[in-house]
Amino acid sequence: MKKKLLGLVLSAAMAVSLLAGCASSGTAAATAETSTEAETAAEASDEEAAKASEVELDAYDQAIAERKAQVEETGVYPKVVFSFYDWTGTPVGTQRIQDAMNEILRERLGLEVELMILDSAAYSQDVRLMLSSGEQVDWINSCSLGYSTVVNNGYCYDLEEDDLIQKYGPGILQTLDPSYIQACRVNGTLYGLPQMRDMAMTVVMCVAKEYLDGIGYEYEEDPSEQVVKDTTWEEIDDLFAQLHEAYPDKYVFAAGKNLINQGSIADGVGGDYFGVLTDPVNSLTVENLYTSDLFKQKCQMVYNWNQLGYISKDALNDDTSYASKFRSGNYMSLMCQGKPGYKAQISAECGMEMVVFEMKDEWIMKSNAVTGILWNMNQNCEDPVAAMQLMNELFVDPELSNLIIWGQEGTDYVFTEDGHITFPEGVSSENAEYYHTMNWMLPNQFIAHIWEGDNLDLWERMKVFNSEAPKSKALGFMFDNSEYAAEFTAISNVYDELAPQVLLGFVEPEAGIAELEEKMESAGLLDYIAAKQAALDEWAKANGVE
Amino acid sequence: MKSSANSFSKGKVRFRKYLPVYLMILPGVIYLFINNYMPLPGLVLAFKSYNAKKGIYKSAWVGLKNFKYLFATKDAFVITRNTLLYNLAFIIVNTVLAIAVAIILSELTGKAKNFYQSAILLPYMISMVIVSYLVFAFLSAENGFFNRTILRLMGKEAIFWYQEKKYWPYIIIFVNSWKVIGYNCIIYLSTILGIDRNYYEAAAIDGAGKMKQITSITLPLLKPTVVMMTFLAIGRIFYSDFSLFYQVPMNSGPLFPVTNTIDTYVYRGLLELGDIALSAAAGFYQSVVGFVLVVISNLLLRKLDPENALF
Repeated sequence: MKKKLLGLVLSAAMAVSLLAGCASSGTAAATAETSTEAETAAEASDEEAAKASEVELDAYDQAIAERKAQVEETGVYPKVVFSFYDWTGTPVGTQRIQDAMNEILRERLGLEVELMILDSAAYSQDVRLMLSSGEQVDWINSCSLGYSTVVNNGYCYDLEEDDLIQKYGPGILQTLDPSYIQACRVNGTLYGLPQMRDMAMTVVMCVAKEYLDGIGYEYEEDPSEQVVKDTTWEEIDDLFAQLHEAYPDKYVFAAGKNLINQGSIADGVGGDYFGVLTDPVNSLTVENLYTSDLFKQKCQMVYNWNQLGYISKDALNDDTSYASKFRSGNYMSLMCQGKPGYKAQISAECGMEMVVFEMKDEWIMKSNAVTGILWNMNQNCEDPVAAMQLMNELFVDPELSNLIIWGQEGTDYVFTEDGHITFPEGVSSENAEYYHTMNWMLPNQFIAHIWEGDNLDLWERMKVFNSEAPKSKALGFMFDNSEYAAEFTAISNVYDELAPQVLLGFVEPEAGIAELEEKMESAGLLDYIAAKQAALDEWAKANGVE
Repeated sequence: MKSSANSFSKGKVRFRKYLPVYLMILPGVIYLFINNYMPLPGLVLAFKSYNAKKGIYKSAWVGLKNFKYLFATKDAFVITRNTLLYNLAFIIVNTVLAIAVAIILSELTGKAKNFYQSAILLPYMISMVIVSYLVFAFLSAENGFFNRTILRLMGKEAIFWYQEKKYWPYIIIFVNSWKVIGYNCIIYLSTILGIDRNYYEAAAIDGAGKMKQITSITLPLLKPTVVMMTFLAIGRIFYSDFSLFYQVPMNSGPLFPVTNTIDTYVYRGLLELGDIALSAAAGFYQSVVGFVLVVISNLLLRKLDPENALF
């Protein structure tokens, strides 16, 4: 009998302990629900109160006043969840930065922010889960999910619904160039906001200074731009030959699969390179990249480098980042897309001083440049007004912008004598508590401090870099390829199968491209291109682009 | 009347008696319900054009359109063939090897046995990502053990392993066996250890040698376990070990014709498309085919060998 009782107790205990895990999260959700109910109730009564008291405030201040009145009643600040990613997961100092921001925000807007900084590798999955599960997240960045994906799946709130951005984000509209905002409209609806960053790109070759000095190479670095301007590909060929001769044990070129997207001005209209504009500044004709001269020429160049032994034989299987490649000390150069201040960025990434050679006549603002890294409001957002006001402050308030980008002065950074900022004594990128280097993703880095290594007039240069860049005629065009999912999947698979060996110069271009092209076409590439062309024509007509 | 009351109280007594047992399976049942049954209504997503604003149930119904991309291309044949043939090869090779290892282990005694068993189990514990780099250490074009040492000693040309598809069916099967045999053999080993020793003693007295004992006693008694394990494997014959086919060939394009399976194909496509409904369609297709395969093979088995049929 005793034994039986014991068995019963044990098994019951087991069942209970299993359930305990579920129960605790269940109650948390339940309390959250009741509290939001309370909030909405309070909101309703507040609205009436505000109407009754005929105080004439403009919408922006009125919303703040209402929110504060409500806070006084409930004692709880509404929370806006602001989510982005970095390369190494949530920084240790996130809570501290969040507290510091909230100190300002409680006073300024009557709300609190929760910073949700996730690891880039998991970001798109985590965000997708949060969006579909109803967990609170108000602002996300669609950089890794893709703007057309979040729009087509219905994840985004219409930012102009009831003049939301006009009323509650005036600072955003003043800061961002109207043409960028226009580029984010999908069929007339604004679902995302860009940030202040480089919108144009140049093609650059970065070579470690150590080896350039080693072979005594002569170059002229523009002191204010920090690049070697107007380099030709012949000069690069010549430089590579010298490097290879002097350092036969090292790889001359860290080849990546970015030969076309970052290494040429070909514009992958509509978000992919299956159908491109090879002359985006002048023509709206969608072409087959794989039959173009541009592709042949670029592949031939890399093939020659590969034949000459400049490229690792394992390059095809090597997806490690430039940072780790260069830190291993086996590589001497890389190709990338450049922008003002790139020297400092790539030197920091590679852990050594790099010299940036800017290629001649390869400067372009591609059609998806603006929509590549957008801020989107969750369509489930409970309080779009609060969310929009937070975004507005992040665009206009230098204090908040500095906090979210660089952290707190004294702890995360200190000023140098000439007005740059840098790490305090004893802090480095290894042990820093808040140094995510995601400044290019956050709303407005242009009003934040400038890290040591960049010129202080960086943002002025960036503005010129963007405004004077030759622009793709298709700037702002988006292509909804969901009708062509079958073709797209098939083409992508052919691309993954056959393109890397061509792009990295492991097969003779003539034969390699022919095979790639043939398989692509049998996978439906031409249909896909035709559909893209039709959509582009329609878009051009609707937007008055010739 | 009386008898029914009697049987009722009998049932009650029985329920009371087994209550602790029921309680013990309760956590498992709850787990199964939450994980395997609650998501079932979500299968409807496979037939819809998902839109988060409208939610799962209000999204537009599109019928079989989401399945189109699985069959629309020539790849469909290749990926289905790869998935099926590899799994078939795994079932045969792994079963034979695992039984062989289990029998050898069961004949060993003492410390050596523990050592071997742990050593064989070790690969099972290693993440596939690490396995892929172990393989890379052998097969790297530039610094791999094969190219640098073995082929050089034999005076042969280096091979670009990750671009030559003809070797990969063997490499994949080898890596898979190396990784899972240790785990599979535990199940066979425990069955063998559970066999009554008296059989073997009687056989020894009758003059049966080790081989005879294995073929006449161990193997026949292992049969039910083999059948069960094979069935479980057949049920998953339309699924492939994603990381084996994605990580170990290092996502190398030229190898796709022999390493692309349904899972990797869907992953590569959806990674770029990001469409939930299409992934739901792929999952739906795999589970339906898997289900049908299990039912059919059980039917066949019931005809051939009713004792060992699962249900």
